[in-house]
Amino acid sequence: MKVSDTKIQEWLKAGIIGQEQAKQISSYEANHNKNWVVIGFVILASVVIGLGCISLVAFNWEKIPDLVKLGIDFLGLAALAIAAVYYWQPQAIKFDLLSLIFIILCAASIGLIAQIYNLSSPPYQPLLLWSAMTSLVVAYSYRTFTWWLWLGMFLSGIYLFLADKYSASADGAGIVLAMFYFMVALILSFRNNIKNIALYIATRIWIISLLLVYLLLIELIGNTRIDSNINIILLSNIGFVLALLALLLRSELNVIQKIITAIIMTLLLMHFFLVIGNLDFIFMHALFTCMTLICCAILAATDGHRRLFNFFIVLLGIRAVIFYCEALGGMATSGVSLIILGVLILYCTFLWRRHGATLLQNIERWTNAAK
Amino acid sequence: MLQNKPILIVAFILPIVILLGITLNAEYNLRTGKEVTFPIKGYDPRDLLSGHYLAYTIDYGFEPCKSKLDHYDAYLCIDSKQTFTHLPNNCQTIIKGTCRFGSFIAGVERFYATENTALNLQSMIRQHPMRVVLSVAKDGTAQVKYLLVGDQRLDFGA
Repeated sequence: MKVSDTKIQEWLKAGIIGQEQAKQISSYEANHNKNWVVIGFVILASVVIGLGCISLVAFNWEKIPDLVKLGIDFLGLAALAIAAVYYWQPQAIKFDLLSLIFIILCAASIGLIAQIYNLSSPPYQPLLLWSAMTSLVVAYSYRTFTWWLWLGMFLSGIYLFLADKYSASADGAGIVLAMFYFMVALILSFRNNIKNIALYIATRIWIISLLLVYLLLIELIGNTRIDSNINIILLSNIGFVLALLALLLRSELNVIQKIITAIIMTLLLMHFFLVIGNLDFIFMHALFTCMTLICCAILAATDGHRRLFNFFIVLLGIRAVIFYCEALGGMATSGVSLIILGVLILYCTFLWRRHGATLLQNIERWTNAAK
Repeated sequence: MLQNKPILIVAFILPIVILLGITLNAEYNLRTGKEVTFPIKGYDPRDLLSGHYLAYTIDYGFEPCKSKLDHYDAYLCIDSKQTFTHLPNNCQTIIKGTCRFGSFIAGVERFYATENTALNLQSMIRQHPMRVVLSVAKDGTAQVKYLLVGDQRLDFGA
């Protein structure tokens, strides 16, 4: 958390810190603060440059001979590689920018080669090829965005591969569920071995994203009668067992956190089985989604992740509103019910504003007491 | 994470070498493969992020995939008009692909065209029969060389 000069002056006036400490804090902040605006624009520039390269491929260079196009492409890659190696230092922003453009240009190169030689393949093949090719380059990066991009492409490749092999209407959700469990198992098992914080953060972001995508997909199935591929069911179960084992054996989480995580994983699996078993009941989706989101919010709170806690509470609120409309059916759009809904939202927002921080602290205190 | 400079150099060289390998392999297949021509049917002109392309179905002269339920690797022997699930020994012209729920996909069902050609293709298709010329390697890997619209040859970049 950045400490501003104003805050330092406040603490000084309140007698919390002395003059010497105030100077030390100011000096430390000046030397260690990341300029997020600069980093943000640098990332934006990299993405825009990368998209520009991809647009050039998409535009179809009509007049340039194929050999020249390939030559320019490979020269570009070589130039970026040389520059990146030259500027390499751990966490150096120039290196991270160059390596990000390099990996995006690799994606553009795959598209260019496919276009020139009329090569086509299932979409998962270029995604997995790109992921394998660029994995070592990404391993040197300390930027969350680079890792987020690479993990996203890799996970998309895995998803499309499994969807290509085993397709049935429920299996989109089943595949995402299996991927979620495997990712949880990985992060719990190797947390202590992951020295790169950017990788850890990017992995957590994708785990949460997979959870939300799964909830969305399973809800979209609704009450449709569906079949599921046995391999996907098996994968989900294996993933569940591995994640549960990793959870039990991981000593850093306390008992409360382990229990809540286990509940979340069980709720997701139960939800999936009820859908594929065509055993749905009224408001089933709302019930399971809300319970999952509540548990996720509590889990975030136990670790003091306030923003994540708020995020899940907001999602819970949105789902509750949808549930209200589902429950009332056609009457939801009537004047009275809309007024009631609006008042409920205002009241909950007021309660949250007043007691949200206290609730978060109480959950943390309760978790610490259980250690 | 990684801190080793020699490995860093290898990390950057590796993608370039792989891409070069793919390019050279594709060029080699194109130059040394056997030329085989097939009529095409079922056109679907569209454009995508990777440029303008035409999607079509190739008429091999027989139904390559019997089952409409399964998804499996298949090898077409063009000489005997038969489908095998493994590489056949005594066949001169083999095309490797996948039977996907009744459709045979060999990765040659798409042709990239320039913007101008793509716009003209729709009217050309209605007036003239179309054929695709493939370059087929000994292991069954096929690549599109060019299209024939009537007697007119269409290469990529045309």
